[in-house]
Amino acid sequence: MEEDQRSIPAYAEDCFVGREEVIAQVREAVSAASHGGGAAPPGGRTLIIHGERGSGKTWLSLHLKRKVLPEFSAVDALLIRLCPPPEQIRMPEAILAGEMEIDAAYLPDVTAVEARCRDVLEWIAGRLEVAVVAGAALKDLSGWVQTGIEARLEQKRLFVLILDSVFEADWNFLEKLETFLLAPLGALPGVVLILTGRGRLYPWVSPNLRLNTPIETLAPFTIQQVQAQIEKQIPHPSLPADQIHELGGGYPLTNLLLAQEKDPARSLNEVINILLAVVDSEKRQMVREWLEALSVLDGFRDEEIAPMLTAYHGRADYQPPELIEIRRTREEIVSTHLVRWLDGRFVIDESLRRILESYLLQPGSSNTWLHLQEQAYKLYKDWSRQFIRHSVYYENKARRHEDALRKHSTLIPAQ
Amino acid sequence: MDEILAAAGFKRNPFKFRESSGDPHLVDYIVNSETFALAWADEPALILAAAGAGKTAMRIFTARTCWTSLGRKHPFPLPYYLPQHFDGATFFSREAHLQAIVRAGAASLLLGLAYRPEYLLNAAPEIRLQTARLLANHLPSPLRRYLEILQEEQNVQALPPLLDRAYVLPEPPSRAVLLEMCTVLGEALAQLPSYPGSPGQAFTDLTTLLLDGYQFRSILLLLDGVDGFADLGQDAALTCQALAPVVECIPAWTKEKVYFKGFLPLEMSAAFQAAFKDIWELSNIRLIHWEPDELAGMLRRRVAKATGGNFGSLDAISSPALRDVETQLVKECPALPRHVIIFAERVLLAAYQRCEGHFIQISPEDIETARKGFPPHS
Repeated sequence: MEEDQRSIPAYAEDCFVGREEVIAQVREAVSAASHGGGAAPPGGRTLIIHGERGSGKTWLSLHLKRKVLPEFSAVDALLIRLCPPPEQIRMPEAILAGEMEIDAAYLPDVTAVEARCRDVLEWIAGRLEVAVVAGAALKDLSGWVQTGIEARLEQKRLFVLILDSVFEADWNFLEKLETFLLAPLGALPGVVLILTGRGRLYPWVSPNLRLNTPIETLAPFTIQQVQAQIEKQIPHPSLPADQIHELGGGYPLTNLLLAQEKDPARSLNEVINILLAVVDSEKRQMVREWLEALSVLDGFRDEEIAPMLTAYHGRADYQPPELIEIRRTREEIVSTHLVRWLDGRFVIDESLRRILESYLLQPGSSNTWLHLQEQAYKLYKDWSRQFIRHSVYYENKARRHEDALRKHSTLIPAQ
Repeated sequence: MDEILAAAGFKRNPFKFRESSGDPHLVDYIVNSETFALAWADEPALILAAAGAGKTAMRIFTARTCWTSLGRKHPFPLPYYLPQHFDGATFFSREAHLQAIVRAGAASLLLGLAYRPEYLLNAAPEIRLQTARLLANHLPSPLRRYLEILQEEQNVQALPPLLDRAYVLPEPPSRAVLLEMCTVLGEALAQLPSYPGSPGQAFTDLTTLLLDGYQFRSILLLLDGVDGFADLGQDAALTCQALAPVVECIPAWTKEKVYFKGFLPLEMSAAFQAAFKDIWELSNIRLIHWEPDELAGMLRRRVAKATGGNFGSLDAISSPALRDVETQLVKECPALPRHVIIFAERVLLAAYQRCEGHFIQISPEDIETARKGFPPHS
């Protein structure tokens, strides 16, 4: 399959699969807001939808905006996409009325942050048909937006704001957005906020965003859901659903990409390149090597990186970077949101990690996978002896790699 | 230290501020969600805690949250920090309390209007006059003096050190808008004769102005600082006697949307319950008690915000010999936020010194070094 033949279909209502629970939660929140009025509990009108890269958050946002929320006659809904994906995995999507896309992923300074915040507020004001003064202070824009929404609420209408890819946005921008938009809106009784994103959750300050805020996680598709997705979205899939599920873990985006190429190794390689498109092209190869080297781990800290890189390269003359350089590179990778801090270690986005490991397990690279697993096993065994206080923890980690080696024992060359 | 922290991935020192009033990032660290919900809800509440457990932090956080996170129709926070108004335990009369509350309210109103001038600038002329009258009669110094300072400095940050240094809000107004507020208030002031009135009348004027004039949703009277008086500290019954004139007003005030929030020493709870049984039953009561996992969570939240979310634990810059560093640090200290924060900074400093400034990686040795000379766990 040539790269330019790979397609990611535009959202279509009848191609949407699954997510029934989350959609039900949204309907419930909107119904509660329409009945509860001012009595609704703080935070009860904010819903967070969290999912890995490629888990379908944007499709879900569009489905909510275009299909689910129009079912309610008295709801005004707006959708803002904060961090559009790279071109290679972007849907050929028209932006319809009531939808906006901005790039808030990296904003170099305060001026850029405020400008982006202004864009959002002015756009919302425009949708609400509220007159604003050009160049007005953010505080004033915020006030006008609140006035516009309050006017709608007085007409017995509800206001739903969907923000897609929130947690990948610049935290300085989110701080301003909270101050000037989300905190004031969250205090209004007839407003529902739906925030989707991946990576580390932003620590909101406002009680309306912090307290009693349910977090729904988008799980990967089951095999049956993969089957349904492929049937609806890819006319002639090249791989069966169960193989797609095995290779990619069931994430909707990778399901789509894997289904379009018959050769798994080639397909996996191309999917990886697509997912890494967010990385600067000059650094992409290095980042890929790092992530492949770390893909067999269920999480890592800085000290694991050098041994895994050494095993990955497998050359006697390979010199891994010093810890200080490792830390610098690790920070760069974290800034791409491909890796995040979770429960005491750095983890690769599972949708990417799964693909990376699947790629290494293909013929031609399985030796690398073996070396990595053996290195990880040895490293954690050593640490379990060296760091007595945490010997059980490291012993369990070593066992995980031992089990992986045993599971794929056919890959181990005969002695 | 700041350069080394930057190399370790920090945008700022997460443990720099040990005392809540001076910490601009205080709002980032409040993790007791239930206590917080009680503090700003429209109902009376008692929040009890040992010294150093975060009563003042919660009080300051509540005041800031009212202005920043609760929308336009938010409660008006009225911090009533007793040591700011009394030299000793001389507040046994209702008049003394009301007078001090009105002074605190005037200070809080001027600070609020300085940070959010649109409230005054959008108010009707009569409201502006009432505001000027109240401020002129009840601020610690003449209103004109504060306006002059604001006009000279052209910066709202000049005001908190004069009235309440913890009353610092984000997103200050532009210089032009601040000066406009000063001009408007000065013009209103010029039209007024001085008329202080009785304490009771002044209190009524204050609440009417805030609730009817400015249409704040309610008033939160945030009482704090009881443990700041040596002569009361050992005598809970005497303390109750001193607070009685205020406490007895709680039912009536509640009906008028003035909600009492008492941030009181834990040692007072039995005496308070005995002295004010009805009030105790009327109020929502919460004990601030830091469980180890909450203290550890507080440290992690500080780390997360200080790194811009890049990592959320000191584990990220620790040797494999350490795991769940925050929990380990908490075990080394008395279960109070201030101690834990100080100890965490000592550990970072020990790591910095051991690594001779090249690179920070925390090791068990650094925790051992930090432990020396630190108050032992009691």
